[in-house]
Parts: sequence; C-alpha cells; structure tokens
Amino acid sequence: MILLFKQSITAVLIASIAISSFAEERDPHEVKDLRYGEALYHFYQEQYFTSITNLMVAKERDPITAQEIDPELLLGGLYLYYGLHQDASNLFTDLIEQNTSEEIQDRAWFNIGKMRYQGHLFNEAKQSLIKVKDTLSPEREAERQNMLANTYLKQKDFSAAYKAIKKLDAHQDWLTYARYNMGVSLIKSGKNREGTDLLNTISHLKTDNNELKALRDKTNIALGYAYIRQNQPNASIHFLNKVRLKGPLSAKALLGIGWAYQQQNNLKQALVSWMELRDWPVIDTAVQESLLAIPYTLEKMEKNQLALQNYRYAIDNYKKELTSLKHSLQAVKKGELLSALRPAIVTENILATEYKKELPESISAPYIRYLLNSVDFQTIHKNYLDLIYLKKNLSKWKQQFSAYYLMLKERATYYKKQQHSTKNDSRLQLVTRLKSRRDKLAAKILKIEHQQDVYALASEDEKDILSSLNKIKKSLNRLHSKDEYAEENEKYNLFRGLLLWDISTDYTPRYWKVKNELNQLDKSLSLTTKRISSLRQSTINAPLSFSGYYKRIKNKEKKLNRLLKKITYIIRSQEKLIEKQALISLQQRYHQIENYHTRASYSLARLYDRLTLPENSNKNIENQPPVDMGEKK
Amino acid sequence: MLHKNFKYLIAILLIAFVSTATFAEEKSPALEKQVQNLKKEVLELNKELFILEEDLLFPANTQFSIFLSMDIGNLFDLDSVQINIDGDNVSNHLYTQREINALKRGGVQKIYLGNIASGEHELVAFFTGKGPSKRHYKRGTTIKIEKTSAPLFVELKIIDNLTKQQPEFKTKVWE
Repeated sequence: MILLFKQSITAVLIASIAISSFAEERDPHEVKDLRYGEALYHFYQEQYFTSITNLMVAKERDPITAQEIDPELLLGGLYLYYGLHQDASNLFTDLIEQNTSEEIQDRAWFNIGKMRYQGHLFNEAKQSLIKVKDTLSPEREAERQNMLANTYLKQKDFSAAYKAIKKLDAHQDWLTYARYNMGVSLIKSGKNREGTDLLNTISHLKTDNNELKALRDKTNIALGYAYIRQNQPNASIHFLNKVRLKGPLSAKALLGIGWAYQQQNNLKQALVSWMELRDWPVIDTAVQESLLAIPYTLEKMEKNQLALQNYRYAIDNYKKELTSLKHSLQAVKKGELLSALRPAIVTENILATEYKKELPESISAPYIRYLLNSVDFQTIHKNYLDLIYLKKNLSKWKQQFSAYYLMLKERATYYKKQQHSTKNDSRLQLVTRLKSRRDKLAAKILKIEHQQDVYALASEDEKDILSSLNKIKKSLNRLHSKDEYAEENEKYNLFRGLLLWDISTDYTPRYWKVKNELNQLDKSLSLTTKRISSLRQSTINAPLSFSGYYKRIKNKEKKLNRLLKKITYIIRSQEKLIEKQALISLQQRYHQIENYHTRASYSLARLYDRLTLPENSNKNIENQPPVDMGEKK
Repeated sequence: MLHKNFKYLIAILLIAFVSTATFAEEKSPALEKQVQNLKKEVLELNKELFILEEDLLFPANTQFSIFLSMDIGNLFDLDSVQINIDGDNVSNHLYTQREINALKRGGVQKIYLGNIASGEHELVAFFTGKGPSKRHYKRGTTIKIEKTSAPLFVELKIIDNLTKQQPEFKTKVWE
C-alpha cells in the first residue's frame, strides 16, 4: 500500500500556507471577543471552513474590534489557504494603508511577500519582503531571510543572497535549506568551486531530523553528479557513498557511483554498482538507466556473451515496464485514478484525511505515487478536494430550504390566528377609558394644589371624623341655649382644630404621595400605550417581515442552485485535468522507456552483427557508438 | 572514444533525471481562475445563508448562546460538560483531545445556541474530568441570568488557580 502523499512533500505544501505561520506566532491567544475565540477554536482543529465562516459573519454583522488586527490576519491566512490570493492581498494592503503600527505593517508585508513568492513573482516578492523592518518573530524573520535569499538567487545576485543567508546562523533548518539552494544555484551558474564548498557544509550534517536527512542525501547526490561533470570521480564516489542505502535516492546514488567508476575506467567496479540495481523495481529511472549501462559496459570489456544476455534482460524488463505502463494508461482512462482519489468520506478537514489515506492496490498506483508527489499536482488535487467539500456544504444548505419555507408558513399561520384574537380583545379598548380617568384625577390634584384644599387629602377615617364633627356642629347650632353647651362647643372646636392640625401638617407629604402615585400611573399607562402601539406596529410589520424573509430565502435558493450547477461542472473539469495530468506523466514515462528499449534493441542488433559478420568483428564499440544517446532527447 | 561515448551517456543520464523531475506543465489558468472565483462565491453564499438561518431560527430577542473557554487548563483534564437551563438539560458535550488542545490554545467553544424567553433564568453547568491529583472530579456552577430583548452571551470559564492549585469554574455574562 502506498500513502497518498509522501509526508515530506505534504509538509512542504502545508507549511507553505500563511495560516501556519499565524498559528505559531499568535499562540496562545488572549480572547477579548467570543466570536474571534470561536473562529480560533475551529482553526486550531483545522476546521478552516467553519473558522472562515465565523470571521466572515462577524465582519458582516459587527466587525471584531477588541482583538486589534488578529482577526484580519487570520482571515487573510484563511483566504490564502483557499487560494483566494486577491482577497488576501486586498486585506493585507488595507492593513498597510490604514496607518497601522510598525508591527502590523511588518506582518502584512511579510504575508504579501510570501504570497508573491509562492506565486513565483520573485521580484515583486523581494520588493515586499525588504519593506519588513525588525518586528517579526525570530522564526518568521528566518523564513523571510530564506525567501529573500532565494529571490536574490533567481536574479543571480549571489552576494546579496549570501548576506541574507548569513543572517540565518541561529536557525539550522532554514540555514541548511538556504545553503543547499545557493550551492545548487552556484553550480548551475558554473561557479563549481563556490557551490561545492557550500554544499560540503551540508554533506557532513549530523541530524536526527528526517527532513534534514533527506536534504543531506539530496546534497550528496548533487555533489556527486557535480564532481562527475567536473571529471573528479574520486570526489564523486566519496559523496555518493554518503547517501543512505535505504532511501528514495539510493538508486540514483548507486547509478552515479557506477558512472564515477566508469570515468576512472574502472569498469569492473562500475558494474558492481549497477548490478546491485539490476533486480530493483524498473519503475525507478536510475534502475532503467543502469539496465542499459550494464551491457554497454560489458561490451566495452569484450564480455560480449554477457553483454548480449544483459541487453536481452534489459529489453525484457523494458517491455514488461511498457506493458505495465500501457495497462496503467488504460486504467487511468477508465477512471481508476479518480476512483482512488475520490474521497469516501467528505469531512471539513478533508485535506488532512485524504493526505493520510492509502492508495488502493491498483494498476496505476505505483506510477501515480510519483505524480502525486509533485507540488503542482498537489495544488490541483487540493482544489479538487476543496470543491468536493464546498459542494457537500452547498448540498447540505439545499436540504434546509424546505424547512425554512415550512417554518415561515407555520409562523404566518400562527400570526394570523393571533392577529384575529388580538383585534377582538376588549382589553385594548380599556386603555382609553383608563387615560380619561387619569386626566380627571390629574385635574383634581391640580385643583387641590391651587386651593391648598387640605381636607381633600384627608384619609377615610379622618373624613368620617370630620363628617361626625359636622353633624355635631349642626346639632349644636340647633340648640337654643348655647351657653349651656359652651363646654360641648369648646370640645367641638378643640377636636376640629386637632383634626385640622393633623391634616394640615401632613398635607405636603400627602400631596407628594398622591403626585408620585400619579407619576407611577403615567408610567404604567405610557408602557401600556407603547405595547399597544408595538402590537399595532407588528400587525403592520409582520406580513412585511414574512414576505422579506420569503424573498431572502428565495433569492438564496436561486443563488445556491446556480452555484451547485457550476460547482458540479467545475469538479468534472478538475477531474478531467487530473486525468490529463496523469496521462501526460505516464506517457512521458512511456516514451522514455520506449527510448531505452529502442536503444537496447539497436545495441543488441549491432552486437549480433559484430559477432556474426566477420568484416565487422574488428570494429569495436568505441568506433561505433551502440546507441543514439543524446540525439533523441 | 570511450570518453566521447561516456559524455553521451552522462548527457542522457542528466536529461533523464531532469525529465522525470519535471511535471507536465499543462496548467489551465482559466480553470484555476474559475475555481478561485467559485470558491469565493461559495464562501460568500455560505456566510449569507449562515446569517439568514441565524436570523430565522435564533432572533435577537430570544437568542441565547453559551461559550466555554479554558485558561491554561493544566489543573483539570476536562472530559465532559453538561448544561441545564431552568432544570432542563439542553446540552451535553464529550471532549476529544483535539478539542481540548484547541481550548488550551485560546479557542472558545460555542457549546449551546438556543432561544429563551425574556426574564430571569437559571443556568447550571456541570464539569466532569480529572482534577490535580488525577482523581475523578465533578463540579457545578450556577448563575442567574436576565434575558432582555438583546441577544444574551454567557461564557463558562475553566481557570487554573495557581495559588490554591485547584481548578476554578467561573461564569461571565457578555454585554
């Protein structure tokens, strides 16, 4: 079984997205806005779709302001993850133009630079990256210097690249990658000495890191072949021997060692290396090459019978490989590749799930592995998976619409019912009568105030007493001999005076109590009036709200149906592109092996001729090159 | 002559490696652009539908959300949370390690979204997990809340009290 993607390559792709840098730099977060915290919660679980939805909704409803620019940076990173480079670029440019702090500007320039770098716009990337000042974290600063070094290398500005690399001393990983890139670039520019010197520093690297071990192997391969080109076979063998025996580059190393011995004219040792590869899987290009190199070298050693046997062996293996490739081509055409790549379960972190899955045993699987490890193909594949998830999401929304319509209908029915019962509710008329009574009361209180009518504020008991006193007074007035009742009159006056005193001295608090109660009544009446008014308003608004929702739902449904059609079409186009890329890759392999096969067949025929025709027997391989090497390509 | 042939072979060898390394450059910029535009459109529509659904199902005057956060979280290994509103169980959540990690890094989980009527309510949350001595630990926290016509947000916080070396469970009502 083959893992869908090699871990190392996947790491390159995943690490390239800006959001990973965001997570490293901003962890742990102090959350000042729950919506931002929620977006982070999903982001940390690689649920990028939910995270971006949370941030977009927040931005639409009420932008998050309590977290400075963190939400914007996260959103920018997520835009990049979904390949929305223009949106990300706009967002980061906005941050720069908003006269933000130096730290924010640095981070925005860094992200813009990285985006342009990933888009192979090296000059533009350099222009952005050099605008960053000194506020980045050490890790991001190292990444910036590495990107800068690479942009300088693209322009063959080695001295600027060297200066950038010098700043990476504290970061072994970045330093190693940067040195490798510069070393290879120098060699490619013909500066062999400088290039090999730089690569030498990686060649001896002691590390437990698997990525760096792989880079060390790559370096030794690069050095080995560079020394072959410089006609220094001893140095070449030295470096190629350092490549790990059990690794993806071991066949390439053994092949190179063979060539280096060949260069030394040590044909026997060359054969030892190549014979080691003889039984390795022919799918490896180094093995394919060695199959042809073995008989060719044997022929040079005048071991013609062995050469014949090995030419035949090579031809047989090439034939088998061609047949296998033919089957793979047919299988891909029949959709085998797409069946393997189509996710069985579509989840939000589909990318992580799919990258960990194993390819099913199939005809094309061994070849597809090579294709899948190409970064370009991974981009196409990521788009394909993104679209599949987005389509699932749209389909999920589509299923909701009937429920929305039903909900709206139920609400409208309920509303109609309520509206009818409300209309006939007698309590709604009561408020008018209450208002009229309140006005009468207010007028009475005003009159009391104007007339300072203390008796009007007497309590019920006091009123009873007053009424009794009035009766007593009437009785006293009816009596003929008032002098006889002088004591009673005096008592009457005393009692009335006392009552008047009590009521008068308590007038102010009594008056304010009444006034306060009137205020309370006013408030209650006002609230009731508002509620009635709100009820009347909602009677008018509710139908509008229902029709508003209905229009909104209808509009979204229309948009969704259009997008569903579009996404289905584009997924199919993406599938065709995947198949096309696979077919082109397989055809390239096919032509390459066909070429080897032709050369092996030609060499076999030529050797037969030489051995069977007496006039040709003295012509050796040196006078007549066995293959049209180099011409066909 | 051997040298000459050797040169041929080296040339072939290098070309072969280069050709296997290069991926078929059959890119389709138009399709790539279509894919990006489509993704943008889908994300936009998804946002609009999200808002529509929230407006429909959880109107502001009844909307009630409960969030859960963790500060440090070293003194309490959270297993599950149960939430009751006015005596009714409205949410139970069993945590995965992935979710715990997201909480410890500062993520905030929306553990409940629903509707409640205006007025006073009682919210009770039970936290189950392992305490500082790795013993089974269950704690509850209660809060009285007042729902008005505005949406209501309550945050349940699990905090490490480093002085007491005990976890604390607090609540905060957000404006």
